[in-house]
Amino acid sequence: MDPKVDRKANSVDVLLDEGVFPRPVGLAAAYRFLDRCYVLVETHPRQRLSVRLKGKEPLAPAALAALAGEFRNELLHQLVRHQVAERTDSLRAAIVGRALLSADPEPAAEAAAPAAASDPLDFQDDPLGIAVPWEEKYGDKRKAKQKSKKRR
Amino acid sequence: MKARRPARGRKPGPEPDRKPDLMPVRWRELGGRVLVTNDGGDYLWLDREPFEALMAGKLKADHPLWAELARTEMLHDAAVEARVVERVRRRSHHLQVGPTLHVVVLTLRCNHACTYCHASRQPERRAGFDMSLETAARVLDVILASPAPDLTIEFQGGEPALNFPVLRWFVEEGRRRTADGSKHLYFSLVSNLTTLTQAQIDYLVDQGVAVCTSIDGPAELHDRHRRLPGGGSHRKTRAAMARFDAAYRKRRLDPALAYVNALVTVSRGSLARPEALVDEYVRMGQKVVHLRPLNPFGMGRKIWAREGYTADEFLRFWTRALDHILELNRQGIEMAEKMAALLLTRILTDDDPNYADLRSPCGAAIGQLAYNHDGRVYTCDEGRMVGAMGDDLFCIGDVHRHTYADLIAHPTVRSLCVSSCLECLPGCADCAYAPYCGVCPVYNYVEQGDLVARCATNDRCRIMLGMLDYLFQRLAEPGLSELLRRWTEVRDRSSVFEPRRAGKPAARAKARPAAAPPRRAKKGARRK
Repeated sequence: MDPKVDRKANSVDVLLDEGVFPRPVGLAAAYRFLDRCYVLVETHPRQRLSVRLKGKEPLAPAALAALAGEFRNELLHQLVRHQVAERTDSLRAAIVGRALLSADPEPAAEAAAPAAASDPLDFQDDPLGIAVPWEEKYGDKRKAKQKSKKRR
Repeated sequence: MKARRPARGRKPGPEPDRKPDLMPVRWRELGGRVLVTNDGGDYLWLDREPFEALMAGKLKADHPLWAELARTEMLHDAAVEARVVERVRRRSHHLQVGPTLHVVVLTLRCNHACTYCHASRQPERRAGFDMSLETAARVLDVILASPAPDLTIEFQGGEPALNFPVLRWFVEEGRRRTADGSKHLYFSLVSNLTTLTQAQIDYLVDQGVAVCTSIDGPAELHDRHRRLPGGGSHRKTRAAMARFDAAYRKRRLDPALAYVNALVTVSRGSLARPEALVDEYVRMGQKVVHLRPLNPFGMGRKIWAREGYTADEFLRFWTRALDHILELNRQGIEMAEKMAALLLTRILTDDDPNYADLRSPCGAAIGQLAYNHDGRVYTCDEGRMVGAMGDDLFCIGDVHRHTYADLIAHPTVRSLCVSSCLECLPGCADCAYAPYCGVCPVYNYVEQGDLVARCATNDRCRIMLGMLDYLFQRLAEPGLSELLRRWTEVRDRSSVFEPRRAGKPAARAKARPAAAPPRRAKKGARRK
């Protein structure tokens, strides 16, 4: 994926193998250059993603080469970020969930509140009929009757 | 060199009938050896050869390293796992308490014009930059709605003492509204002290308001950076500190606990003189010196070019200062460096100092909130400083329009939480120092344009790595471990920072706040 520097067009083209850099990684890396470049992203055959970074200001050849280098470093950062995020997904959910919950006034108040003594329901009550089997609730009652007659 | 990916779940046991399983570990090469750490914060130094054998599963069963691995809870079994889980819970106590620190900017006005000032300072006589009583009332409503049982209100500015009537209102109204014991309320004032009258000093001492000031070194160094019209900032601040000391003594408070805390903002001019700076703190009778690097928040590029420095320059300064402090310790002089003491607490004990910069996730919004003089609320003081640059990304609401619950539900709070969860960040998740460190997404945003750091080019990360490298190498030196352990023994000062009636001395000792877990020293990790 050697980048191509086009001095006339004031741009750098990079062709990415999506087998190495999944599309979200390529897009995230390209997104970081929006402030300095006009960015064009296109798909190519054989799982290739092309990214063109065109300088908003005229860039010297060395600056264009540096831009390409920065993009490649950013790609690596985004790839590792993607992998770490996938690997630690459940851990992050647990830690962040716990942290946010501790700052939330409602769960704290709920935890401190005494159990609702006035609640008349027993834990075995089922006022919404959630525990009733689907067949009993919505099944064709006529067919059910016929079946029971045949059995007799 | 960066730590490699930990060998999670590898089985290095050498014999078929003995297959010890490693707990998740991280490691870092340092000075020709390898430092191995686990999630519980234990650590172990290994020589290169046994480390490689361990990782390759070729370490012989009779190798003495097995005993060391077991002692430092690196080997997995059900009991060790349960212990490590419990220790991680203790070390992450901050996840259970909510926002405890509330930074209240009473005014942007200031009588100083410091060369590195980054707090959107306004001239002393300019109107329109003080917090009004109406705004203060809203701010207090929000603060008291926090679920945290212990709350600290920290008055900042500008120079907060220039708006003393509102400070008094906060203290008295806060005390009144928590008189039923529903919350423990603490106050602290961050001030240059130069405008305080004797009556104001007496009030602050009587009300148990902790006081913190800045002394940037010997007089000529301090006055060069902290500019007061007419000069003499150092002399005036020191004189006010002496008046506080006299007021504490008059009330028979323990001088080891009752004192004005001071800290240093390290600017370019300080870099060549770390020893002189530490010696100034010894002369002042301080037991701790906090050497804070300048941060780029709210500071123009011109100021940074004049006062700023690289991470390596700061680290050279910091390590020289610490070498000097350790030499003083050997001579029997009590002194510690604050950041080192906090890091050592993370390394050597299971205590959670709940320091916003050294926790995961960071303290932004879930550990602290910052209230601007006009009622705007920011995730943290750093976020407020970015707001002073004209970027309100970290503003999560306004006390005039939003409740505490609205503020905490702001999406920026979640973003900061996710982006500072150290265990899940590139460069941090596998770093050997993850159990001790912390990140600042606001810094990353200002310096690198993203809440998530590019660690390899991040100066803050470089400074943290440098500090931790230094401390671990010093801990490995014979005789230094016990000396450095003393830096973690911080006495609880809360007993002197409570209101007291005239003529009645404060209690000399008090249990730690209810929210804090009891201290527990970790098993010492020895050199192998």
